[in-house]
Amino acid sequence: MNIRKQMLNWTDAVLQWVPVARLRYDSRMFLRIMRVASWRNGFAVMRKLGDVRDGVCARYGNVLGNLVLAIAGLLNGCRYCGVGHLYAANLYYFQSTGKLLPIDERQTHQLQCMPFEELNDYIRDSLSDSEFAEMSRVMQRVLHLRLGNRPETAEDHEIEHVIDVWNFVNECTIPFGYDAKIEHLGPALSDPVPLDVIRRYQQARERTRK
Amino acid sequence: MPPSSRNPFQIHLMQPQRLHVQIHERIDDTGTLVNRVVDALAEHRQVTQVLVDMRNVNDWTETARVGLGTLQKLLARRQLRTAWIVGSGRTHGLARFIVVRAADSNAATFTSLSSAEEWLATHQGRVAQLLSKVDEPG
Repeated sequence: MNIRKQMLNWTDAVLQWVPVARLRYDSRMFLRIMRVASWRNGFAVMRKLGDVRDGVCARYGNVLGNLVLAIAGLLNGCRYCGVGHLYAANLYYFQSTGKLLPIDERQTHQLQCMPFEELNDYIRDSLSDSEFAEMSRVMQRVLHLRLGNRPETAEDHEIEHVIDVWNFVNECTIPFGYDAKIEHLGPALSDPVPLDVIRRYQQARERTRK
Repeated sequence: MPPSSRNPFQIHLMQPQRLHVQIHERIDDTGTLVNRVVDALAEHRQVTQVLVDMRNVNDWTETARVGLGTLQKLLARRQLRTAWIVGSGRTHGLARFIVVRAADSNAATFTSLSSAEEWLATHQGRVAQLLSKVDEPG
């Protein structure tokens, strides 16, 4: 009887892992979440994390959705999230337009060093082209809400929830995300991007870095 | 002349139970900071809360990071509720790294003075608060 119960528990644990594995984040992050939130709550937190990521990408698309997650992570001081989602946003944008976003994922450290007001100005100025008006608006909204401004609209409430979830996620990622080497970090892709697109993006981006 | 140009640290009693530690610009020698905080706590035994304001910090050494960790561990041992206020993503990362490494649920990081004060007035632990917000959409 006990063995049967134990087997069911193991099966349950494996089945719970399936939706989590699709998130494709660093396994250290999952282990930290399980440790911090406890094994009982950890899976629920990770499902929530997946739902929030899917939700923000469904609402804004993969490019802006990842920019929202990037700004939420980098404001918390996490390079792992900052670089991962900024890189992902860049790849999705390059894949759909063949062009580069004005903000390079390698700028994450520079963005993190800016005082919050300066970062707000930098985002506004970098995304001043009309093509990026929506990106600029939403990213500045994330920044304002993260700095303690009260949500005013339904959209604000949704963004605030993303911020809250990422606040907990970064509690778990900060031990390895605080000082991670930017050039060693990869994109946090929810939908795969073909390797040749990644290669072409890297070549195009490299030319702007020189 | 701003105080930071003379002294990178300022420590004073903000309220009877709250010590206010302001750190400016570049942090290097944290030994002095730790000693001054210990002295201030010995002088004001009624203190139960510490507010560390790092909004004006723009650079620090590796040694300073370790020193700030020592300070947080010392505050944790005394069970003082501690709020770190930050002014950039980088300082947020530093403060967060320190409180997480110190494993002190009585310490947390904030991006504004009002949110720090709000939290200091409660008794909820950092992780419990963060987790409760994960479950509270909008």
